[in-house]
Amino acid sequence: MKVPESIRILIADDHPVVREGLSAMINRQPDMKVVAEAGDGREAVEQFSQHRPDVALIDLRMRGMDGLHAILAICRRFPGARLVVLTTFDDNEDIYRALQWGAKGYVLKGAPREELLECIRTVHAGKSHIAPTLAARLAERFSKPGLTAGN
Amino acid sequence: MEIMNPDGFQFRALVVEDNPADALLLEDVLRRTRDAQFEITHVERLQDALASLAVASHDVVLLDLGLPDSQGPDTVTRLRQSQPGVPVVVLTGLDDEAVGISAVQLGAQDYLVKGSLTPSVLGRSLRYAIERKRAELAVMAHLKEAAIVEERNRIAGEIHDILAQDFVGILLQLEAARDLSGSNPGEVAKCIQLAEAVARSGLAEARRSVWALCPPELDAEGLVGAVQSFLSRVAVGNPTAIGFSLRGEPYPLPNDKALGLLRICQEAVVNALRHAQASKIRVQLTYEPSGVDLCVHDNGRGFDPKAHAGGKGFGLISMRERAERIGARIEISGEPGQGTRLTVVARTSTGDGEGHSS
Repeated sequence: MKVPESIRILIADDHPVVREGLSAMINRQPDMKVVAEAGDGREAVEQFSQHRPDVALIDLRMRGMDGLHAILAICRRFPGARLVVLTTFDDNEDIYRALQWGAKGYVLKGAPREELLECIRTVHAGKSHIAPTLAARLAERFSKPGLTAGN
Repeated sequence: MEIMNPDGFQFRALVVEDNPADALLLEDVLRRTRDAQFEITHVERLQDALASLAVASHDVVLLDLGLPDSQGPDTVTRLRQSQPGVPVVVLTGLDDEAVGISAVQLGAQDYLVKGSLTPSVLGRSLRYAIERKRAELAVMAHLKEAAIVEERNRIAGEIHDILAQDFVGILLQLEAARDLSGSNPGEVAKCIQLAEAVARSGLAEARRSVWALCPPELDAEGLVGAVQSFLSRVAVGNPTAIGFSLRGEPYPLPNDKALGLLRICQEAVVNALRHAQASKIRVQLTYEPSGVDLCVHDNGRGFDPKAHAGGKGFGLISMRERAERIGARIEISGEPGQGTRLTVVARTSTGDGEGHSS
């Protein structure tokens, strides 16, 4: 039987228990492996450059350099980067910006883990994954004058 | 409140003067002011003044400081406590300039020396007093609003950064336990233990937040007890060394003053813990006969007060607003890398040297 290569993942979250929990959960998946962790945005950029993961999960709100700026920095340097935004609340204006700047997926923290895992696999396959509720709002937002979609 | 009429503005003035001759003279001068008209109500005692202010609005109070039921600058304090929104202009005798100045320090808009009053001097002083007080009230309202917004943002930030993340952490551990049950009992027990620990620290954080938002009645333990109790709460499980010292003999404070000082202390200590990365925090309360000083000093990374001159962030607006509300002065000194020292000086009287012991 052919064993598929694991999806190599970077996790950036400033809450250690969340980071470790996500990491342990992902590492229990046969097709995934956490290759790096970061506690703030600056570390996320460094770790990304160093490890070039297949997918990076990035919390938007972190102390120091926040996730949004890390996303911008990574997407500028690595245009093909596959990034998934993690947020605590889904009414955050920054989600739209993160997606405009090049993030490919978005998952609410605390969502069933199947959703996160599916999101990682979808984004890894080169597609976008955005929660349906957010997708509707996103479409509405991008149709407003003065705002243009990033892609 | 003022009405423009062909002769200028019209104001309602309350004259509080027990000497009939002085009162008559004042009314006469007021009637002769040209650019404004004053509708005068005259009372002879502070009690009557407070009663009059309670039932009818007045634009300005002209206040003599030697009344049968109240003498000295304390008269200003009592009037302001009851009606903080009404501007007060104090009348003093010829040799009483020091009394006039201390009345202004206690919140009077101006002082005038009896016997040297002309219609234009009196009219202008009252007009200025009214306008300045309006501007002051507008600034206070703005400051209060800014403080409320800042407080809300702080609470939202706390819920986001601490409570919500703890819930996410617990969820992840519980999911992991579910995954592993049946296959690895040792790992399951570890996940549950970690979830318990996170829940416990989240609960402690929630208790701390709620306690900080509405602490139990201060009367029971007084300011010193409340500050100590707050410090011991934050100290639990915190590596930062938090010390408390008391100077002078504590005495009861008005509840609003004690609560204001407690809040400022809480905010300053939490700032030091969250943002300053301090390893030591010292809190000191000093009881002087003239009032109470609070000092919160940390050895953290410090900050540049000039960079926060606008009062933005770090709860500075709400600390300043709280200090203002209890008539206290707040000083923050610090330099990057040198720790931060916050001092609140809350004096009940104008201090020594004025010769008043009310």
